[in-house]
Amino acid sequence: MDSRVIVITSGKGGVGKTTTTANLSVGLAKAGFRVVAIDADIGLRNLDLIMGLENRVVYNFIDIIEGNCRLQQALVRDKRVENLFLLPAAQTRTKDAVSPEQMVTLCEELRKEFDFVLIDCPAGIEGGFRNAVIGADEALVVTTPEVSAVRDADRIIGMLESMNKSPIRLIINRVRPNMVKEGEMLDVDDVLDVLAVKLIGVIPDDDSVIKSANSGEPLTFGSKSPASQAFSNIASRLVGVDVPLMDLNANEQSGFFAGLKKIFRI
Amino acid sequence: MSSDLPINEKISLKGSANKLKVIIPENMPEGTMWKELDHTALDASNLFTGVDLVIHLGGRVISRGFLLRFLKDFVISHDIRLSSWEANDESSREAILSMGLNLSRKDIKQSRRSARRSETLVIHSSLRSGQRIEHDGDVLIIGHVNDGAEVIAEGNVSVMGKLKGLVHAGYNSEEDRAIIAASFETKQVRLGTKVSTLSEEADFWGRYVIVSPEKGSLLFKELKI
Ligand SMILES: Nc1ncnc2c1ncn2[C@@H]1O[C@H](COP(=O)(O)OP(=O)(O)OP(=O)(O)O)[C@@H](O)[C@H]1O
Ligand SMILES: [Mg+2]
Repeated sequence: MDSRVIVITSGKGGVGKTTTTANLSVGLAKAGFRVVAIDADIGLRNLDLIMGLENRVVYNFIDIIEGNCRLQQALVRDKRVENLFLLPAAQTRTKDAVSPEQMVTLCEELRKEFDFVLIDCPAGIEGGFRNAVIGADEALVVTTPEVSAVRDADRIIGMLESMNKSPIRLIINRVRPNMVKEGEMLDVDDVLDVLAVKLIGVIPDDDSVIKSANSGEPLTFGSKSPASQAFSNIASRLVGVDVPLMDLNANEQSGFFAGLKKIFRI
Repeated sequence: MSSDLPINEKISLKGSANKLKVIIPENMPEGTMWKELDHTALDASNLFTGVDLVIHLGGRVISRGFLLRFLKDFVISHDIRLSSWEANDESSREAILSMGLNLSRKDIKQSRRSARRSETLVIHSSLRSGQRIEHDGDVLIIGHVNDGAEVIAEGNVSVMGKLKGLVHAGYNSEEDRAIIAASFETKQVRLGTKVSTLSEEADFWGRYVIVSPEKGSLLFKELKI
């Protein structure tokens, strides 16, 4: 299989890029793919925490670029599942520490070793964005259903299009059941109407996400929570498995899924 | 400052026939300018493809080193086709020529009255948030104008899709212009020197609408063809 480099990005910060990167990385590794997750959020190291690997970080990707260590030395292997690695960010550097050319070279090196290279992008469009995106083929854009987040996602999609990333697919995160269409909240159809890109999944707002972040154990390791299932579905769709729609009627009594009926129609 | 500099101190784009002018405010600090150029290229590169760019420097005084960096960081790294440069400063013009680059023949100063208005600028895609175009003629957008996108035209503006962003037609023009949108969904439009704010309650919201001047204010009419 050809190696795929996918950047996980967003317009607005704090919408779930790191959470998504961690969960998809675990999901894909569990499905047997060789996966490396890169934390490209220089200065705000975070992915290692969410993945529960912070104690094992020795080198980071600037060290590789500067020749302080070899690629293999900087990769942190996840012991819970085979074939999952993390390439941590440097915490102490400025975003200019890496040039776009160096980033491209790094991605090319990783391509040789892995089926999937997932890049956790920093928020916004300042310096770090371009570096994070430049080596990627594809993009996943994460947004919440808020008007302002969607507008910012639109801008990012415009940039990704102009950089010829393809496909560009959308993840709508923190969708709430019984989400009344009022004020600043949009429903899934509204979001798609504005952004006009392919949807790859919808993730419910779910406390299990926060618990898993605190414990450093991504949900896709085995949680049965709705968000976990949503992330697993996205991982499957990434590899072309046509995940059937959730059987909403069977879960009618749960109330939660009843609320999601409209949302998961797609 | 020459008259064709933009009102706001941002890098702006101005289209004409098959050229697109990149106007760099002459007072913008150089550090800011490199950053803004990068953003402009990312925001607007779908407008850049297949078009020759003219770089308008105004009175900015530049060196050969500046030009080298410009070519490397902007022209090459964003894969841009450059046609020519416009510079008012003599030493800047000299620097441009000494590197084998072209100056625009902008001596053909058109007096505003006699000049034929530019051709229609046709955009074959939606404008996304952050994308901004300026044109001295009519603009036809075969797509949507999303929330956060801007179109500023001296002529008329037609949007074949949804209009959610900002359109200013008849900018800097004394003639009557119109804005047409296949689905009118924006809270503000500008026509000439008039601004109108609207709400979603308006009975033409989401309809096929033409906006035109009428007795000193703006008239919104649902178009029924
Ligand atoms: N589906 C969800 N349900 C509940 N909480 C969530 C969900 N997704 C993300 N969160 C929470 O939202 C916060 C931000 O998430 P995350 O760090 O993944 O965002 P980010 O886009 O990476 O942020 P940044 O832009 O700062 O890098 C975290 O506290 C996370 O636990
Ligand atoms: Mg993050």
